[in-house]
Amino acid sequence: MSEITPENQGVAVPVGIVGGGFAALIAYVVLRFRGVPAQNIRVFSADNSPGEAWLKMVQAIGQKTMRSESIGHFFPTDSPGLATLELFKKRSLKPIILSWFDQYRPTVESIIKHAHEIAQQVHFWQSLVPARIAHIRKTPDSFLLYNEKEELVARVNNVIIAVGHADPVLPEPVKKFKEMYPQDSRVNGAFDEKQVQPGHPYLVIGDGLSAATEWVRIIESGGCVIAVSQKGFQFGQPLTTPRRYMSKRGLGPFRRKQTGARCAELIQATCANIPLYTGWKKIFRQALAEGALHLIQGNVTDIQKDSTNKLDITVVRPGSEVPEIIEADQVIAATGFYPAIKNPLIAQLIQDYNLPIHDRFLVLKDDCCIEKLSTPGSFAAVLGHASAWAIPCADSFAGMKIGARKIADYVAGKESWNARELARKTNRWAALVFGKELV
Amino acid sequence: MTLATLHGRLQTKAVTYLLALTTALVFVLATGNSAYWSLFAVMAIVGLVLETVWGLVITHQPGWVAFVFALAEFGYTAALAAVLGIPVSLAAGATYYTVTWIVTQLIVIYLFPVWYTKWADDGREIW
Repeated sequence: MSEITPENQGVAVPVGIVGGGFAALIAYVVLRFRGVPAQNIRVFSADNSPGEAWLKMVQAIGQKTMRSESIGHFFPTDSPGLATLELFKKRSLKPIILSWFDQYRPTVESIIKHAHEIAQQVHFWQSLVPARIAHIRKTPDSFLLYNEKEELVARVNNVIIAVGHADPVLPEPVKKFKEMYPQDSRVNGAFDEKQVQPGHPYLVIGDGLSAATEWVRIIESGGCVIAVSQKGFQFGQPLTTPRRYMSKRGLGPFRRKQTGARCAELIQATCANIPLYTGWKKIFRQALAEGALHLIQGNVTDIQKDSTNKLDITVVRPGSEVPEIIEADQVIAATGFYPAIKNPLIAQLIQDYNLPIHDRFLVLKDDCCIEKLSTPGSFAAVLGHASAWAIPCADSFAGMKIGARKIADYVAGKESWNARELARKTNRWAALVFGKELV
Repeated sequence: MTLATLHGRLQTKAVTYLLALTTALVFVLATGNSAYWSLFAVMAIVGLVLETVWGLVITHQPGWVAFVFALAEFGYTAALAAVLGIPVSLAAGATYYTVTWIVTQLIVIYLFPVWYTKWADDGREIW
């Protein structure tokens, strides 16, 4: 690590956002909306554009529409919903009516376009510093940010850590197979590039949105799915986490719980599940009836090649001691991500500052700040997946905004109903909605 | 979509009465019938009682439910106004209610989240 001297620390930037994905963009947009100038914010990211890493993942699983609804957007405010904007763009009442019934879901393509437009309007790229922050050090009144070569990149008064997910989980048998047969591309993680061939049986491990998206892609391509989940499949929840966590109505009782009970509720709330969109319901029902979809509760314990070069997958069902061998042409592991505390930057912070964790969660204050690293006038906060302790739906756009709006108060001051402030906000909101740049 | 707390429902409802009051003023001035003040008072009482009920019964309110609640609110308001003998015809009362409801909905849905960005996060609580 380079020596820190007052000379090389430079002048501290008021806010540093570490990470350049959607959570970073949302934090940036909210701060800009609250009147923080672009030159007072730096975004440290190796990615050129918000959504770049995310798009690769959703393209790999073939996801076309979002799980989020009309308010799942990058405006700093909940209004207008994407359905309202589409109503005016397409001159059709359909989006708004769908939204009244919580059935409106934007496309992946429209979200990427919207992210790009908003980023441009708020001058996101003006604040972007191309660097991957690997280490954060706390000083009494600021934070020092270092890159992977342990070179000092910047000093910031406040830091918002928005680093996204840790690495995807690969089950042991999948890892073992890939190590044994590195040239064999038939066993993959969900986010690896892969081809779907009609008529072939695919074994998909996992029970969340990625797994179900893979099922749909395979079924629609004429393939057959053997879906395996260790804990069984949970269908029907529209959003990733129950809706109640999107406001104080659910957050209040959750936050009032004792640590153990709060953790238990959080584990339950963030448990993988599969939405039953109108189209999907029909596809699943038909595939189940035609034998193109088999749901198996069990644990994949081994993957081997048989004498005909087919894949033999060993599955042990709960309560059974007899392993079952299932034949498939390909295996896809759609088993989610490691907990956020495994993200190298967060893991390093936990180790360096002995930050409290409970089960797999980083313990945060309800405003998403890390208590041990925050002092009056200099806070360290976390947004996105890693802030689930404060906001169970932290992995959603709505959850990211709840956190970002709280944090914004520490930088821009508390919101008031002062007429001048209301006018300023209305002007900025109108500028964003009508595609103009924020001054 | 609404995930309001009971306090949030009542606080937001109370604030929207400033709009309802303004609409009542416009109707009084336009028609010369001061009974719109009484109609506003009845609507305010019915509205607060119903919001309390909805707040206790409902956690998540999808958009379409707002129309059902509006119909219920108008029905009870009209009934109470008739019982109290407020001299406003059903058609005139319906016009007043509809105008007030539309203006209120537009401001609540589109502008409240702008003026106070944490309004929805705080379960529609304002203070």
